[in-house]
Amino acid sequence: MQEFAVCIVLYAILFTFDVVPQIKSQKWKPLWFVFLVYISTFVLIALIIFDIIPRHLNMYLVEAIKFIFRIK
Amino acid sequence: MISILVIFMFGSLVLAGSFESDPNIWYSPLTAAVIALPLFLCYARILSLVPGSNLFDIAVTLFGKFFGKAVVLLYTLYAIFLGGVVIRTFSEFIRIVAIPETPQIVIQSFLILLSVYLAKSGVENIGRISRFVLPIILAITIFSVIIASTSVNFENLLPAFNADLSTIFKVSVFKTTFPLGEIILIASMFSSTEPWKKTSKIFIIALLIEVATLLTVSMRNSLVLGSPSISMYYFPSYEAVSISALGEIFTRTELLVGINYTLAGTIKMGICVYIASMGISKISNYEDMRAFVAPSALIMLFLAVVAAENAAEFFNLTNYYPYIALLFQLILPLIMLIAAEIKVRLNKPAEAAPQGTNNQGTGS
Repeated sequence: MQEFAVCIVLYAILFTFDVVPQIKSQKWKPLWFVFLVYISTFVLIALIIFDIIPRHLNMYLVEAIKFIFRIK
Repeated sequence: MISILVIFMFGSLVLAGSFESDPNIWYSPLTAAVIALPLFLCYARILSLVPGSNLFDIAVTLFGKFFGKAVVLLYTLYAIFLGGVVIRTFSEFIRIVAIPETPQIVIQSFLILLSVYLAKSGVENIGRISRFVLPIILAITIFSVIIASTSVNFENLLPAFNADLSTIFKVSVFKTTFPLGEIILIASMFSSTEPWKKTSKIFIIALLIEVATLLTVSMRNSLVLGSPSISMYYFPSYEAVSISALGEIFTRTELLVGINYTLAGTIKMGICVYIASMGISKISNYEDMRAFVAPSALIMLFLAVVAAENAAEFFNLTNYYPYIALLFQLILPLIMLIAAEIKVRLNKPAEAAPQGTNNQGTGS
């Protein structure tokens, strides 16, 4: 729960100092990407914090490297 | 530019020596430099063949809009991946040596905020802070060597050359890819209007400073800890200095080493965020790259969180890093170099032809 609280604070800070000025200056073009990343990473990190998805997703990358380069 | 190149490579100094297993390979930075030198000359050549363009512009010029942007996307993903690895490395470092009970996301959040601030402040400020920090880092490294000189055992350097060639090659390739070859990313921050010799001089000076520091750190660690002990620690440099003291005045100097690593690591993270946002802005044809700074940093944060369950798993993952780096540090630059050489050679007669026609016209 502590981790989730920290995560909310981080996103709030970034949203205030990054997204709000863009909305104020009406820079709409990059905002779809910005919102997409903010929402998707927040949801994924929340899912990881609450142990709904595992923390070792990069291990699949290791398996892929082992398969491509035939490492035992 | 030299300061940024060196600081970017120093960002991985925290792991210096942690991949030297049983054999005594403290001289691996020298062998890594031999492998890295042709790579550095290749990067310098690419920059000087297309003057006034950075790596991303060169990719689009050489391969066209579609394939060029695909190359830009690959390098953007590489910058994001590297940023994630650096953030996780530093959060592990801070957690292991200082605050073991604190959740890693707290440390990572602070690192993310710092790197976003740094990237948003622009390349000039990154350059200025690198120039300011570089002498401090070098001074602390020299000071740590002086402190560690009280606990050295010269027998630890021996037997120096009993490792087999494949092990030496493996460690050297690792050192080449992490951190030396990573400076290909810096090529996307800068353009060069200088001839090849001058551009390569900058790269070679940066390589010499980095290799000299890596060799000093590697030797210090071996002299203090001995080579079997080095492989027992995740951060051997920190451990080597922590067991050394100069009388009763200079004790606990490992804190300085921690500051050293954090300074270089934060700048490296900032540079990774900057390059990733530059790549996204290039792909999306949106000129203001600062709009993509925070999203790039958040993707890095996500990667840092999912990198591994624990420190052991994460450091096992870094062992596979050279396989990923191969594409970005060797294969793609080689393809770009060949394409740039062909393009320059094909353009020369085309440029000469109109001049010839004009001359004829003037003459007649």
